Amino acid sequence: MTILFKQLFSLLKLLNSETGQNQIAAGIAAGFILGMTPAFSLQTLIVFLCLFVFRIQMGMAFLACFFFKFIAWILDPAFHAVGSAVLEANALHGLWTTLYNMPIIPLTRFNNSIVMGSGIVAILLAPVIFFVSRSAVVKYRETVVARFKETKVWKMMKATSFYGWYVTYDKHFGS
Amino acid sequence: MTNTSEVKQPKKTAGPIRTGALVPSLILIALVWSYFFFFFDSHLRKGIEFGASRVHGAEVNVGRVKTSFWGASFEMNDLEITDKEKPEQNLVQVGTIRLSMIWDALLRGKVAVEDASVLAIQPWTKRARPGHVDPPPPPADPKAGLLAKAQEQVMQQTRAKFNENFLGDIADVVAGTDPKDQLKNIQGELKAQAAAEKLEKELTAKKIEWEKRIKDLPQPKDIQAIEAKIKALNLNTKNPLELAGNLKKAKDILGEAEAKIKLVDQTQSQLTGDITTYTNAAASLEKLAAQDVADLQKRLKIPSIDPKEFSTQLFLTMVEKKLTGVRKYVEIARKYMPPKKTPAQIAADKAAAKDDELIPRKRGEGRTYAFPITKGYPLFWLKKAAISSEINQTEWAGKASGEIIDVTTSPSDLGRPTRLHLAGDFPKQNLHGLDFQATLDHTKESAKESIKASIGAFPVMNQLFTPETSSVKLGLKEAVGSGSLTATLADQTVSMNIDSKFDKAKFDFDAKSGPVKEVLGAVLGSIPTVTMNAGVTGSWDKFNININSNLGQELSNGFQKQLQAKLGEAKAKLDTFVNEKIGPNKKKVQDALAGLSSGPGKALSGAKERLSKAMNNAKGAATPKGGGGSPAGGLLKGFGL
Repeated sequence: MTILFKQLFSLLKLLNSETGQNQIAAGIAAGFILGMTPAFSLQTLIVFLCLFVFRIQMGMAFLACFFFKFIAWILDPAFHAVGSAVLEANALHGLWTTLYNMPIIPLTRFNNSIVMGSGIVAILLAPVIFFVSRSAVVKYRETVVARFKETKVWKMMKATSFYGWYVTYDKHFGS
Repeated sequence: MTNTSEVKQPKKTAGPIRTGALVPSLILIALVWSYFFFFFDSHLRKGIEFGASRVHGAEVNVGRVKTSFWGASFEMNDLEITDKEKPEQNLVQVGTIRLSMIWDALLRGKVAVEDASVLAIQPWTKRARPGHVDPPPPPADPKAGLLAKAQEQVMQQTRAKFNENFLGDIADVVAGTDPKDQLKNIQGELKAQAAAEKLEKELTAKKIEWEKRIKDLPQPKDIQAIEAKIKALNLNTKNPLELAGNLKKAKDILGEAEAKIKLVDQTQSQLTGDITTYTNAAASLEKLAAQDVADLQKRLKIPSIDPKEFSTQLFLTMVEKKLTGVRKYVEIARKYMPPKKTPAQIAADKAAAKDDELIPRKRGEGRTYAFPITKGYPLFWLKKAAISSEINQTEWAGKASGEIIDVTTSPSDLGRPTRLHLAGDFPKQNLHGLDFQATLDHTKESAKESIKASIGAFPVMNQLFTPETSSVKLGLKEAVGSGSLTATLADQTVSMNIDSKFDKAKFDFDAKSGPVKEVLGAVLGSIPTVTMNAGVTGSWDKFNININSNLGQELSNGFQKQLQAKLGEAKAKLDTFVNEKIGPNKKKVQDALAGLSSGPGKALSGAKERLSKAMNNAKGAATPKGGGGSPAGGLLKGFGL
């Protein structure tokens, strides 16, 4: 829980800083894939590994995952239809049979209609989500953050000793 | 002047790789490794103990479990399975079970065991402490599991045949209990009496109904009226047009008369049907009376001295245990190694899947497609397990060998039946000539199992044939047992034969009644060997058990002299009691039946006779006087008269 809170605070800090838009956008894209995948499977594990190894904003990923889970629940019938259509396609039957008989691949549960449907949708839309969210972050900083920094409240707060302490603390212990 | 303001150093831009996660990753890997190295085996051992104890119904212990990730192997030592009958000993103790899995299958999410070995098998070893035995399952709970239901189904049928205090009841009759006093207290109605009363009421109602129906039937006067109508027609006219018209009218009138006679015919056959039905029902009263006598005999605990009954009561518990055992393990095998689905089952599954689509699905459920397995494995497949045990392995180990072949969760995909074979001798336990063979063929739509087991010799100690609560105790103190069991099961049908023999039998018996003890002593003293043969045939929901034993025969003969007169007297009293109770009702039924035959039956026959006569007269009237050779005669033929 501490790690999660730490990640969320660092998300807030990063969101309002001038860098890290790629990390946040990658977090949203990773959260999108996690949220769309219905159950724990091999591809979920791969996404987690990526979160762990690459500098992807985890707080954003978990937040996005939570958000997209709800959307995915609504979209399940559509995923089922897409997955069923792909898995039942005669032209692909040979490919699925080969994959079904390969080692490791069956652990992805690709033969489940919802896993297949949501997987296709998630993989196709993940780059779109990445670029859209990156430009949204930039836009947010240009409009909301910049404007907020110009407000008297922020300037007053910046002038307090508390803020000075916070900056010093962040310099030494902040990530 | 010194510059006090700090020069802000630009922060070093972090790369895309989270280098700071290296240490936590290593810690995580170390933790996972530590868990699998230090704890996984013991947790797996506990899991196996829990699961196996639940399935077996008594405590199962595992000494040690060792797994290897890289070797994909599993080893289990000191497996102890508690004997449910004698919890202080094990049914069997296995020194080592070793199996190595195929990595190729594991990477496909399947478990395929290429080769396994079971070593140092030791039956009936002493336990360090008595094992826990689960209490017997509660009576038929609709929510109970499959196994409990299967066992309950068998026990319901065997318990219906079983009298816990059979020998105690015999002792009571020997002591001279008079059923007459008990019969006075029986207030409940007899089945035959209730049936007779019901029949009598029905017959009275039927008689009234028939009398009413006969009244409504056409009477001879109706036919006579028709005859008069025909006579009024001029059939001797020379005018052909008029003749033709009159003949048509005559034909219509006669048709009307015939319909009336047909109605009477139909009514008569219905009445005859009713009389036959009620005559049969009255005859069945005799059967019900016999059933009442049998029920009362059971209720008043008047035993039968039939040798078969003796054998059944003595050995039914033994047969029941074997039967429930076979049922239970076959049911488990069918659950985990399901036979091929029938087209009807596939259609039902598809229909159920369609129904599911109407209900909003849970997240992640979807539909899982199965593709043909071209190079793959079933979910679980034990190719071959070799069983071998040598006498010198451990103190109680025996010489045994055998194999288990093709145990799988998808027999229909594999297309090979599961085969088990075990043969061995365990000299320390005086257990010789053990041979067990089983074939479980679940490859097709209809599951078939055949079991053949035999044992040359095994020690029998303190085996009771009567329940502990019985007032007469009878059992074997010591004997050398041998036996065989063959069972063939196909779907829901069962055919099982059990042969048991107890040589050098030393009996353990006791009875409160002196004469009974005397008879038991005399009979059992002359029986050195007890034999028992049991046959079970039928389906699981309705099977017949046929048990024969020389012990039953001898005991029956022994008690014959003592009991025949008393039992005959008791049965005669029951017959009299039943006959007295249902006699008046039976007479009433017979009277009512006679009333139905003689009353409406006779009336209907008379009516039919009179109507036929009147009809003939009417037909005569419709015949023109000119005869068949006249033109009118030809026309009549043309009209079908």
